[in-house]
Amino acid sequence: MPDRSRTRDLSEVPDPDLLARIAQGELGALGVLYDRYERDVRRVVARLASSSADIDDVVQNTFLEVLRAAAGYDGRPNARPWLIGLGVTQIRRDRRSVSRLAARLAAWAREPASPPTSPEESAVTSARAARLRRAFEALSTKKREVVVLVTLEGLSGEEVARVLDVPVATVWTRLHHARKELSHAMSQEES
Amino acid sequence: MTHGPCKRGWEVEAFEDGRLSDRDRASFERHMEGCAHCRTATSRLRELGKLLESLPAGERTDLERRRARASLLARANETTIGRDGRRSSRWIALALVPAMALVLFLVARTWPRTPTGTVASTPTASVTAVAPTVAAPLFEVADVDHADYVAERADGVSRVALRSGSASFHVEHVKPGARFLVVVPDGEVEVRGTRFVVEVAAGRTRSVVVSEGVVAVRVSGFEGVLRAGERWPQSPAVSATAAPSAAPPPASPLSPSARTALGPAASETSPSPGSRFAEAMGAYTGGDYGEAERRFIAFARDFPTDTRVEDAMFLLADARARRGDGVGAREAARAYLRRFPGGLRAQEAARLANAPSPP
Ligand SMILES: [Zn+2]
Repeated sequence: MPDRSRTRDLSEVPDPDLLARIAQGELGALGVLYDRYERDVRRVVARLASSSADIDDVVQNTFLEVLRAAAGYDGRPNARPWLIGLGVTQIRRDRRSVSRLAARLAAWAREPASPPTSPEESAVTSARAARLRRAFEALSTKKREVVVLVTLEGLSGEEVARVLDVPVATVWTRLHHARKELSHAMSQEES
Repeated sequence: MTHGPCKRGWEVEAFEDGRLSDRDRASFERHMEGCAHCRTATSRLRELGKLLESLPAGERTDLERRRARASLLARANETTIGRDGRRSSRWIALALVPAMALVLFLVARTWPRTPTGTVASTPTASVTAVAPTVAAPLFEVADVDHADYVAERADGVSRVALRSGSASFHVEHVKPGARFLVVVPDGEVEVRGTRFVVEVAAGRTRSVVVSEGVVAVRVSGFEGVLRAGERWPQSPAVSATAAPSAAPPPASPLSPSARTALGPAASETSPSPGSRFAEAMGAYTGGDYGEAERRFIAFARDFPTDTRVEDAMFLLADARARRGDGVGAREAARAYLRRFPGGLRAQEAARLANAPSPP
């Protein structure tokens, strides 16, 4: 932490310094961190949280958690994997809550047979996307986690292993089985 | 995703996920040139990856994002400062009240690495040792004008080193044995539970304005006590117009009559937006909402592109509400929301804008 003084423009401040400022209670720095990574965190939450989860709520809680966790930040130049890790923790916490489970069951009962599609998508593409979405939702939570973190967010095996607290080999095994299930589901529906 | 008839089929995923060594990758690339099975498996894997991108990602509009950001910062502010109902200082955007334990940890971890030459965390000789059992006072710092400061709480002492710019401070009751100090380049300001604004420019303290409580000032050879409504130096025009190289304004013996030196009589012809905003802020924190209203309006009119216009417009609405002018407050809050729909104070402004009319 070379200089902990306030400057007017925080947008150029590197991630580790930003987190050091947040640890000292500087809310402007939290705002900048939010600007940098909110989209990434939100995307992960949208894809991994249970269907009944309040995405906004989980994202907010993730950034509020930063206030507490910032002091323990390990100083890596890019805070994105760490933040995504905090997001995954919040998603798991959210999923565990009993009321969530009840709401999830209720939502499942109400859920339409096929998700809404955008007009830009061709019929074929959207049908395939809808199938993929069903197959993805049928995956176990553990498999969905590795698919999102590795395939969609591009985190390294080591980063994902740290986020999920499993050995790196487990990440690759889970991903292999997830892909197998997804491919199988897609080919089943096609035939 | 079966490995199929090719023995090297398992390498398709490893290749795509980037976990092959350079040598293995080159070798597998050569293999694929001659193996239709692995080529097909690779393109299927890529197709699956592309399809996965189509999964809903919870997109939303920029306006929604700005609103969520404002709400996050408001919640973080509450978390940091606490939900003490007695606090009336919600105008503070950038509050700085680190938890005691957290700061002790950080200081211990970072002090040895602090480069020499920074004013930052150098303890001043004037700080006397206090029993570590006394909690350092809680405080809030608000950036009034390009405040460059470092804050620390440790061993019963809260210390803010203000290097330049202007900042306003709100300090909760300082317990016996605890101290709150603002260290400025040419001295220090010690506090006993109060609100005040300090302005530093060119390595020299330009002004100290007290709106609540009592402050001991030891700056530029001056030593004395300021009470609510008093300022140093006495005339705001002197501090605002003095050349940076000029000698510090003479120390003035502060009598109860000094109170009248501040307030409506204060100069509005101060040249810099910073001092103009500080003056408006001084009136606001001093509870003179009529004067604050006048000054915030003048500030927004005279410096329409200044970043503090957002604060001025919100505080105008708040000052009116505090003065009991519900209609005026709603009008000002709506003007704020039109101009800063995703502003930091959007939530509070919306509350003011929708407040029920008084009977
Ligand atoms: Zn092959």
